[in-house]
Amino acid sequence: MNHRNSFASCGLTFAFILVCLGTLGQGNIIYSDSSRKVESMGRRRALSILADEDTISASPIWPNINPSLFFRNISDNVRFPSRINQGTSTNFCSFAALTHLLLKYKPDVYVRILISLYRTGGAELEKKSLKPKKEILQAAGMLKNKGELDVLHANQLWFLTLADQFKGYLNFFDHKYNRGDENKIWAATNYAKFNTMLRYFTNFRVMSTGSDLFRPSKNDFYEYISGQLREGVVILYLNSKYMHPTKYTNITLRAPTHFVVLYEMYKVGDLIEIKYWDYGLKTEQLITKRRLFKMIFGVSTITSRVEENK
Amino acid sequence: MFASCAVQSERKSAKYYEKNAVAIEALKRDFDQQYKIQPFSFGFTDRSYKHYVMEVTTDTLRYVYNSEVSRSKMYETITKFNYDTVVLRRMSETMKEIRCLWLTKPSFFLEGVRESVTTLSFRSVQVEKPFVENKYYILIFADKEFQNEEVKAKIKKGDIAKIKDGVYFMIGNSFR
Repeated sequence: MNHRNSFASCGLTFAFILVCLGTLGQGNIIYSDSSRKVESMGRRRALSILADEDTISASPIWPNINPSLFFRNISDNVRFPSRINQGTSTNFCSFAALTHLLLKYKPDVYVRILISLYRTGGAELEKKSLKPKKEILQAAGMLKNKGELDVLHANQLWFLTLADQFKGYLNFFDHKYNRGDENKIWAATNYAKFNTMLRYFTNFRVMSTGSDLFRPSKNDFYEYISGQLREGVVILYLNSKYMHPTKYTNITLRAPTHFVVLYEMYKVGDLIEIKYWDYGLKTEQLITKRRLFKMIFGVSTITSRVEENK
Repeated sequence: MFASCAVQSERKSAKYYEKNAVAIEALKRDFDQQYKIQPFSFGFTDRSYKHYVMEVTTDTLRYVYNSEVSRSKMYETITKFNYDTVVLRRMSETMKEIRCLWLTKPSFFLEGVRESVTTLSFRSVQVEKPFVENKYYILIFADKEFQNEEVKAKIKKGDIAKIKDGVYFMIGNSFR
């Protein structure tokens, strides 16, 4: 019932130190006018692919997916990329952030993968094949008490497939899906796994700094992150307890729990105003510099599309 | 042994609603009235009930402002959406009086249909003592009786307790 409940369980980090350093891109192509045209074309292509699809017949591979809910969900996602929502009390925040970016910059790729999964039970990425296990085929369409996700069958199919097909060390002891695992460690994402997924899906150049245990070694987070925003699209790996602080808890675990896509960041006097995407909406919020420091554990920047640099 | 050493604190129950029913119902009426202007959630984040937090939600944007961080920005948001400041002040005073932490209207789906309720959250344990787990007492106001089997099962199991028609309470780990 309460979507904030799921904040605390979006990711878990205890054991290893993983610092991911990627390659550097060449300027911010993503925010350029030509890029916006590419996005708009991508959206038109995606909707045109959908328009040619049979949206009535059910898939024998996914017995619990309602075709009407499935195709309406895909179409809405393509038209409103910011509305993608991980649902209540799930650990799908990393997959939702990834999908938000995919829908924004590669909606046609998203539609092709989803339709391939729906029709054939599998999909080919550039560096990986997706082949969800039989328990995933059964579970998709059956998730309940997850807020709007209950009726978003394409999102159920997609998030469950991603959680099943991408594994990191956090998932080491729980590889097999059982009912309710979407709220548990089975669906958790560590930082390295997230950056790997970004690279697999978007074919973007990704630069990342941070880890599951220690904060990035930057002197001034505001300067660093606002600099990254000028370079490209920024995803923050953070502890959501510091985004919505309360004084009712005595201890806040110093570990990242959540992924958000950062859109804007600027100074307002001594404070910092941030605009970020998560849970199907953009949020505008004021925070102190100290809170920003406490909150951040990773900063991933997509600097450009690989094919545009060739 | 640990159990016997634990601090015994009284948890809020149905009696809490009955004791504060007039104030709670007035607060809900004020909230419903202001919510119609623009959906929002409202509450406190500190133990002394000094600092307000307001989350205003539009179709595309959620504004989160905390009076501890910036009172002026919060006031700017209140005026931007034309909320009645007198009613908001009255709400905050009532909330402080009855120690209510958070007011919101969450949505959920029952058999594919979107439903919405009003919830008021309170600290569950009445006396603040160390080593007492954080639990929250959540009052749920529904405009209708839910006939769904899942809801009935939760009531039967005791996860949700019925106080009277349309008013329920539950104990949760989170207040918002």
